[in-house]
Amino acid sequence: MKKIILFLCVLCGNLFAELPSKYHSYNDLSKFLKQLSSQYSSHIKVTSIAKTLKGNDVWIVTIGKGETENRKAILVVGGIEAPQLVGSDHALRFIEQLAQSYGKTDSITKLLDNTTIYVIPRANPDASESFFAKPLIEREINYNPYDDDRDAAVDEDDVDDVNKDGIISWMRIKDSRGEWIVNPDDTRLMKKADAGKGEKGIYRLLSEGIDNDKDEEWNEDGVGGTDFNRNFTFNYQFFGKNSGMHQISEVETKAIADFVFNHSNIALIFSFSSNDNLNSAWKNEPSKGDSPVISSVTKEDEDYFGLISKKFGEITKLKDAPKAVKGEGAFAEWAYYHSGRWSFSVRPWWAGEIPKSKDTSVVKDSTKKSSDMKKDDKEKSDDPNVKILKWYDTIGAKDVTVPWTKFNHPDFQNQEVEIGGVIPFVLSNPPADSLNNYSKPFSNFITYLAGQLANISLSNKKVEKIADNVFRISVDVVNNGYLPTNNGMGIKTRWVRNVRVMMDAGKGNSISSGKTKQILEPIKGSGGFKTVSWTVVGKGSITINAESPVAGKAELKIELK
Amino acid sequence: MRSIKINIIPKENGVIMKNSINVISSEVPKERTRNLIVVKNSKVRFFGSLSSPQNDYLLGVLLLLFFFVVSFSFAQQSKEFTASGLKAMGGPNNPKVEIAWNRYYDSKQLYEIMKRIEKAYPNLVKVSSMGKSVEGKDMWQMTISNFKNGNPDEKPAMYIDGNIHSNEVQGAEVVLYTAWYVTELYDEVEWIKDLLDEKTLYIVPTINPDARDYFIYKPNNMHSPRSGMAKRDDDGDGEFNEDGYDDLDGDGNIVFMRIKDPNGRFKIDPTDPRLMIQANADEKGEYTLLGWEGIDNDGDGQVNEDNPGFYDPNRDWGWNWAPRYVQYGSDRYPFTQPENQSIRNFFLSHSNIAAAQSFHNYGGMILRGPGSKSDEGTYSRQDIQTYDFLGQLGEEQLPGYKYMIIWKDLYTVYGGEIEWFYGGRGILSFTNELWSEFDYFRRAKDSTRDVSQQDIYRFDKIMLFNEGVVPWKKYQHPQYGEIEIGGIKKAWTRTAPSFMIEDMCHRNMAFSLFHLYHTPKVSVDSIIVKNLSGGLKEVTAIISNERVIPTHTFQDEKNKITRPDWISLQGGKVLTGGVLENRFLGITKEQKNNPERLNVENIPGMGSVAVRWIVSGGNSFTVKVDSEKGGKAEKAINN
Repeated sequence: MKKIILFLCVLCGNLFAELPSKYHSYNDLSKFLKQLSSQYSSHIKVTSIAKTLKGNDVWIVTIGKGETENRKAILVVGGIEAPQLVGSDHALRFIEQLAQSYGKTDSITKLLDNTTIYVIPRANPDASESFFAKPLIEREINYNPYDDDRDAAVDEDDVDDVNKDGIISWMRIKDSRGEWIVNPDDTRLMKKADAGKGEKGIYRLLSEGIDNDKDEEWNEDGVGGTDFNRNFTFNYQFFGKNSGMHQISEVETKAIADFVFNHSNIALIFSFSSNDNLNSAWKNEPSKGDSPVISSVTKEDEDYFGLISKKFGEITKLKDAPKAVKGEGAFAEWAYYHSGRWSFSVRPWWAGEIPKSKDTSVVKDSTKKSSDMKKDDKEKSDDPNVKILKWYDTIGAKDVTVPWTKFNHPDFQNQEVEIGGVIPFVLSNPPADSLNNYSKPFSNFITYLAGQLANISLSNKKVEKIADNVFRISVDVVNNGYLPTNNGMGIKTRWVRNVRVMMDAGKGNSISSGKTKQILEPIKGSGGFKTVSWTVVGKGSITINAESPVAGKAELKIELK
Repeated sequence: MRSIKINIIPKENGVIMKNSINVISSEVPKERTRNLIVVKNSKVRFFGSLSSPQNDYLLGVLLLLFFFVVSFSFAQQSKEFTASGLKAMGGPNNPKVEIAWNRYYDSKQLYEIMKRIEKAYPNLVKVSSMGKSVEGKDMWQMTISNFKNGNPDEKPAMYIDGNIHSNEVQGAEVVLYTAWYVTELYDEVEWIKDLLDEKTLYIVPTINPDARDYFIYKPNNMHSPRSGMAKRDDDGDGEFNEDGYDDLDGDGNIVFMRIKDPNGRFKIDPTDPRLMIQANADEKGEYTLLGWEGIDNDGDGQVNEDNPGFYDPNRDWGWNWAPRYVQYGSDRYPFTQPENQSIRNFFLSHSNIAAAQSFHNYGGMILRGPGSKSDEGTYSRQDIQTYDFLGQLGEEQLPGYKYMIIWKDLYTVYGGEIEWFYGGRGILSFTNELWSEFDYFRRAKDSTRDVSQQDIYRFDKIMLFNEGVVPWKKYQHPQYGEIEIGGIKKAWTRTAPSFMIEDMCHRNMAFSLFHLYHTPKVSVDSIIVKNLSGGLKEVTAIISNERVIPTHTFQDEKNKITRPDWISLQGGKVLTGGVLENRFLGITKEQKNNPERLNVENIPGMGSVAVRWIVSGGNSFTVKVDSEKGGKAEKAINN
């Protein structure tokens, strides 16, 4: 019998085709989400949290069965760095996996019955859409007009597809005053000359374009806008490049932040970004000078960041990640330091080993050549892009760069200009045909994360009768989850509530010691507990209720007699 | 104007008066009209020095003729002496809009006064809504300028608001007084007329209408609420506003609770039985103080721990903002509050704002940023000099007020309103803490900070005749048992008493008006044309700023917030052009692109820049200057 059920399940599984291994445009993404939410309406809900300047929706998908708003939750965010389409597509595949597994895989069913998973698959749909547009521009920013060069003309000098090849690449201009040379490790790439090593620049390097406003600056005031991963409050840079008019100045970033502030049940935020703390965990560091600002994880949280990062390696088997980027106004850092949530972030892809897969021949090729790559690594180049291009070579990918080609540029009449270089998006997004393989380790890891939240119960109840009508009652509030009921920044910022214990002593009875309502200090996970006690004068039924938006609730009724 | 009842002169009278004076003004040199005359019982006396006898004669005849005609028809002839009595200097004798400056108004009354002023002076005032408050009230804003002399949004302007903190009500009256005074005296005081001809005031009496009304109409103490009315969970128990103050005796004032307690550490002050003081270290007390009037509404063992609001609207701004573990009262992120979002939008759409002022209470302070030590680097030497000039002027105008730096002399503030004005927008701005303790007894200047509780109770006794304090009375408290309730009323100690309001309004207004006066005023000082060989001409223009504030503060220039000032030349064909780095040595920095319109990063206060073009052809030249914060000017020359 068991075998038959198992067999049926496998069949069922196959009935649901995987998402096509391609990148999803905004329309495809919207269509997919709508379809999914009607197909799985019992546990998938799609709503919009913002309308962008281009009229697109920032979708949020609520996954879970039952009262999703009133229980512990995690939030997953893709595309906060708009050019990372792959993260956004991972999020879609994650949603699809949960949608399909609910009611089939016991662990998933159990998880989604008790925990809510919110997913914002594409935080910056307007900018990400440039991936599907012509000419191809790698766009980090939204379309909020901004006078980048403060010359009172707004967005007047964007990039231009000078050679009309449908791709915005690079222009190198032969110029003895230039600072660039051809990268000796990979001639498709350019490298800044290092005077200390006796290198002399022979090129100027500019993004492809025309000096539209004739101010002898090229592409210095493009259309829009703000980079969302520079627009959050933590370590925000005023008057920084693409950082916006001020912190959380954009419709989209404000909607995302407000969603978090309005959902006190969000305990943990997972995001795809370069502010990676899963390949190298955030550490507690001694505070600098007399600044009251906390800029490293608190002592009590350090171990949790450490262990979860270790688990990331175990679950995903991913390694050789590029160095994490320290954020300026970054979302992932804001999520921990200013919204007080557990925050985990990782790049959605980097050039490394391709995960094993059943079919594609491309993958087999790369496995074969991965030893070659290691050899090359030892030679080492300062430029991480050299490694990425090499990786593309090993899988035999074409169309990664535009070959440098001479072009008669109107702005540089008497100089030699070549247009070429890396094609937009390829450095941070893998070929589309293996997306399904890439997404799985991340889906598994996020599912693991959602299972680590604090989870309280009431146990070890004691009722002592001191005299007729006088009772001493005590009970333990126990945390059965892995994470504590609050973290260091949740307490500091006060955006995350601690466990609240209420005593309803019943009509006519009085509490002679203890409180009707009290707030408990954080309770550690893995069985950590806090004991609460009261003395009640009276008889009959009393109710004890423990509750936290991020750690669940528990109730206990006691008859005093 | 303190008197409430004044005989209203028929409107026609005022109109005719004005027309008549205008007739005279056009006949005599302008300077003379300033210190013109005092009229007493239809006799004319001449004041001031009139240099030419012919002019004297002409003027005299005209005036006599005029007053003869006028006195024949009407009982009153002058704005300085009417049936309303002798005009006191510094205010209108016969205002079109009567306002009693001896009380505090709610948001609706403020709006009605604004509309009355607008109706009386449609060419000077426009009232519009800046946006909506949390509860959906309009934030009414007045634009004040001579609308017949240029677009008010293109003149150098000053923004003034009041009442960001709900309980700090009197900012609204100071701001509104400013609107009233400048409109009423526009025709009478030339300095005011020139100011409104050249510049613009944007004023918002209350940027916090919700909680202003809540302070006025609901039970509160003088400190509550500081916040706006958006609901927050102050004590982190998942409930909102569940344990606020309780007006136990129902008198509208939240005062203190005390309980008789032989083990208490407080006793009655021997100089005033209404005042509680600490018992001496070696002495037994008689009472325990139980805090502000209230009960533990939610059974958590705390009293009054979750009042309406919680956040501080003045920690909500996008400069040097900090989360609430660093800055108590900060909310989600900068501009969480819709009221502040509206002000931000107003600033972003009015780049002509060159000065800003915010009114708070109390303590007699003229405050400038930075709010924290960590932000000291933002305030450059150049800008501090300008700040100092204005701050020191303010100290002269406002006895008992001290010019101070927020973090150094008061306390540390992250994300304050005026810090964003300066740090984020490069606009010189002050916060005044209205109502100085100096005003209680006006003792020697250095004792301003030395007002004791005894002084306040003394002032109440001998000046307010005990009106300011609720006497102790017994009350049966549901949790504490028999207690007593008493103490200072909410409308006292942070707000000026009735008879001092107008003084407070006028002095603070004077400070603001000089701040506005010193916003930049650009002009084309001179144009020199020199003939060069080959029929070419060298045109040099000196552009000056006649006021103290530069067209770009250093913060503005450094971060390129406001576009450069544009200086353009018309006439002839411009071949090259540039800004003279050294006017006397004639060293020019060329601007290759578009030399017809030169970009100048800044025109310093009381300073100038020089520009030079090489031109072919053309005999007459016009130099135009166009500055976002300094206005526009031009000059032509025929060579």
